[in-house]
Amino acid sequence: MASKVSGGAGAQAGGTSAFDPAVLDRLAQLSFVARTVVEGFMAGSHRSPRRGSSVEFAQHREYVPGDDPRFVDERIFARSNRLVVKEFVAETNFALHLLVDASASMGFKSLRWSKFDYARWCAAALAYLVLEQRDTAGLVLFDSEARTKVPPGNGAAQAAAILASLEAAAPAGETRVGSVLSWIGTRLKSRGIVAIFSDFLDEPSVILEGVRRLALAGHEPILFQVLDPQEVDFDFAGNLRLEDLEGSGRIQIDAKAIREAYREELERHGAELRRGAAASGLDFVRLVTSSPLDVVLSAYLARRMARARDGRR
Amino acid sequence: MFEGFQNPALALGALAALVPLVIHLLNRRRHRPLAFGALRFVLAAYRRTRRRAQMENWLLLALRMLAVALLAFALARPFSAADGPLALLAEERRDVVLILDASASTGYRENVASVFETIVERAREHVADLDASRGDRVRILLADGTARLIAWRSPEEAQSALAALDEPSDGALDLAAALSELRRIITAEAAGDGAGLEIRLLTDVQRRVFVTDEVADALADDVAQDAPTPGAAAVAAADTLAGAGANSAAPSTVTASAAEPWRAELDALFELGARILVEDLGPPETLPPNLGIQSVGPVEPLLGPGLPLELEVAVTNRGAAAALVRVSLAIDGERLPARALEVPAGGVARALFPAEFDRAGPHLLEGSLEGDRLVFDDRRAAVVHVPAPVRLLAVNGAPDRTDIERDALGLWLAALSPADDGDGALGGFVPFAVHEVDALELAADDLDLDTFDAIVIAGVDSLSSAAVARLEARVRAGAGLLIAPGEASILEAWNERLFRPDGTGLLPAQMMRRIAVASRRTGYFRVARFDESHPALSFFAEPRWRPLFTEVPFYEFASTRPLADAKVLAQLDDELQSPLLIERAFGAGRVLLFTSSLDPAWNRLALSARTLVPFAHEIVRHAAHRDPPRRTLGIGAMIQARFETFPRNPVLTAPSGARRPVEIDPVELQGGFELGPIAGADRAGVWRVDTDTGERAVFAVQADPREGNLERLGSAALADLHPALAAVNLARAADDGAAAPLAGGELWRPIALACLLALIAESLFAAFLGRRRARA
Repeated sequence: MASKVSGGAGAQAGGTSAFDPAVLDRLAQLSFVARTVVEGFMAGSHRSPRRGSSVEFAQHREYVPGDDPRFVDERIFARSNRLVVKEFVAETNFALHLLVDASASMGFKSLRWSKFDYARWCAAALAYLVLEQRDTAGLVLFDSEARTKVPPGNGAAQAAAILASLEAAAPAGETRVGSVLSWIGTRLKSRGIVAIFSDFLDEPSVILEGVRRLALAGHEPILFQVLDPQEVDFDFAGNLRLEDLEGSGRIQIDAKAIREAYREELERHGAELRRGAAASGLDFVRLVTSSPLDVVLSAYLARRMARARDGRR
Repeated sequence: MFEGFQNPALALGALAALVPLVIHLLNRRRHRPLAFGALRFVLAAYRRTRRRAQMENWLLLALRMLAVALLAFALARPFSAADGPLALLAEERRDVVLILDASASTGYRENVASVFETIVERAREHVADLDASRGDRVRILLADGTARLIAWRSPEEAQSALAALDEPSDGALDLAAALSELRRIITAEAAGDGAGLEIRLLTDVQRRVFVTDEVADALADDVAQDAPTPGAAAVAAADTLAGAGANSAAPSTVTASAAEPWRAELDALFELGARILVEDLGPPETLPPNLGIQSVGPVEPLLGPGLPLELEVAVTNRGAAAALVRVSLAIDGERLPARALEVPAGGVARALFPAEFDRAGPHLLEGSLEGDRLVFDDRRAAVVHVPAPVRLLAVNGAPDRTDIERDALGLWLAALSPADDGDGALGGFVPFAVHEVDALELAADDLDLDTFDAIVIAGVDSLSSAAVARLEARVRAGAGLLIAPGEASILEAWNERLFRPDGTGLLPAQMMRRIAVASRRTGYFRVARFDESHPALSFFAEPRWRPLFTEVPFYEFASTRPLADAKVLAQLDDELQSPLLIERAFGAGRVLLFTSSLDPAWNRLALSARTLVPFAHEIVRHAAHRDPPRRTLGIGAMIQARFETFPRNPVLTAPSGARRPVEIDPVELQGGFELGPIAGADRAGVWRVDTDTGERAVFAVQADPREGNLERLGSAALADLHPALAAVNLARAADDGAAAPLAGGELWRPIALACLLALIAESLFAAFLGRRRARA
């Protein structure tokens, strides 16, 4: 079921919001970023993934040292003076696959942070959220091909691995989103939500083909297009000599003269992606690096809840 | 496209139109580098919009360049030809040349205003019709003896120049000079196209301007032979003149083109497309009446002071009726009683004034009439020179106090210095102051030869070297020498002392030998021919006096071989036509060699009183003659003043009384100083040069009396003179269909409007592009 997510549900006015990229930019470590976003999200009006999530009781088992005392079934202890812990239905079959575009074009920035910074904040926040929920998360950093892989897993160690990979990465190389998605679709074993963070500066048909392959493989891709405000507005003035971040392309232009046409080209590209995603029942979310990050989380949770209701695995 | 520019230099400002292009090209080179990720969209947008964006930018640039160029052209004020491609856009512009007749005849005053004042007023009216803001131009030529451009820029400048004109000149109109200046203007300033100029000649249409006096006289002579009366002759002459300009058969032996230099100028102007509208602003009469003084001077040549004489003032009546006029004469400022004079129509009458000059030298004569309508010829001055007695040194080679006929110079001196107690014809006048010496005294140091104007040497056997040297010095300095041999003369000695083949000796010819008739009873020589125009012999040119010279017997003479540059004035009738009288210049003086004796020894000339007296007087006067300094000049002539002492702080005074210092260094000459040439004698009347030493030099500047002939040319005759001329009938509202076409007009207004439109278009288009690109 496709759903359109609009951002800003948890955003607050001013620069003090937990979702404000300007605030997050000042955080040194990605782990802090992830925690800040998630806790901020949870502190708001968002439904707690724990309280409101569809986590089901599975069985009891004998307490062993090291178990979390919060899960000791108190009624049974009171009745039988036995220490047993509750085991819930572990979503061990639900995985979040984070695909983050680390090509050179993701390094563009008109603010203090680049598109890649914004994308990894989003990815880190989602990973943190998922892993806190004891779901499985994995990471693939790619450019023209998969560059770094963190296989799906859960637990604290998994979070650390994902965050470390995200922190260590730097945007470089060319973009081939479509071919990467097609290739990854055959490599992901556990079905789940595939959150793709990219600027999608590639042919829409190729991208959509890759996305469809993912969907055919049983996954639920969410397309998060990350763009810089200047890439959206093209609010430049004067004569520019634009040089391609990913190649040797170069062109001299009068910025004002082509602004209108540029925006039309951008919208046409985005509309084609959006149509293609909608046709497959998938979500396409445009993220501008000046926007709050709660949009990301809201979109993910909406898709997560829809999946849980439908009982899809 | 443009015929020219009012401000040609500003047209170069159109190059400023390149500035926007340069700025555009410079800006194209300045591109800010920027690494960009979404280049695919930029490339796609660029491909879509490249052509349109280029066209928009180029159109904007073109509008800016066009606006700058149009502004520069508008400031340069271009104008187009009347038939040019932009003539429809041009404002009408007039290019006018006014030629003002400023000759003396325009001083004629019939009513309150003179003809010249009418001419100036008419010129003001023409200038007032012009509009400087639309580019009208006017040039004013002031024409009299010369042509001067007194205004050549704006109508305002022309009005100022006209305001400074108050009276005409004293000269005649030189039409050829005025037309020549007009041709120069057309060639230099109108690109050789006279068709675009509106040329007007404002004149009194004086006939002699168009028909010179020589031509008129010749034509009049031709027709007068067949005319029944003088009046009919005049009419016939006028008719013939009128027909001469229309290429009709004229009976004149003088072709108009040959005697009328203005015709060649008109031909050239006609080739340039120029047409001249002649405005007749003269009096209504064809022959306005005018009395004028034609001449002032002695009736007979002046011989010297102390002689009673008559001075005459000749008055010309140019009118058609006889006139009675009072004539007065002043001598050296002293006015004599006026005389009433009746002058016949078209004729000349002379008022005579008895006078006597008490001293030699220059004397000022001023004749005047009671005023008539033309004033310039009612006064006339002249400076006459009364010669002083000739100071003659007579060197007698064979004095004989007992027999005058045997004395070498006895009869001659008697002729030159007759005894006169004052009751005779000369009345005490002594034309010659004679001092007689012998040959030995000639070399004496106490004999100052500088005090003699002429020296006569007769019958000397020879002369000493010292005497010859003194003679050479004196003759070279300007004295005259008359030398004749005699019975005692040694011709070889003469040659040795007085002749040199290279001409450095005194004698004009080499003495050869004595030639005598075989018998005086049977034969003699006579004068075969002589120079009748020579001042010394012109007396005998008159037929009644001729035999006095040609019939005188000559029995003996000395044959001579004249130098190449010597002039033989008289020849005998011998086989060789031997010279009798030979003249040659020697320095500033002259030497006359009489090859026979001055006494009766060799001829009978001295015994013929009626021959001797005029011959001796004239030849001695001629030998001593020095042209006195010219004191009577024409308009525009240079003044050369001579002073005995150094002329300190000389001041020139004009007839009007205006004074100005003469800043010329004087030149020292023998006997004095010369100051000049002094320019500026442009008015008729008495001019004076005074110095601090008290010396004064007086000059009389005379206008051409023929300028007083006010006979006018009819408009029909004027129109027939030349196709370049057209008469303007001022009584009609429009010209007689001969108005010059208006010159091409100014284009600055439409160009300025186009510039404004270009600027507005550029602004609107730039704003439109800016808003459209901002909306994107």
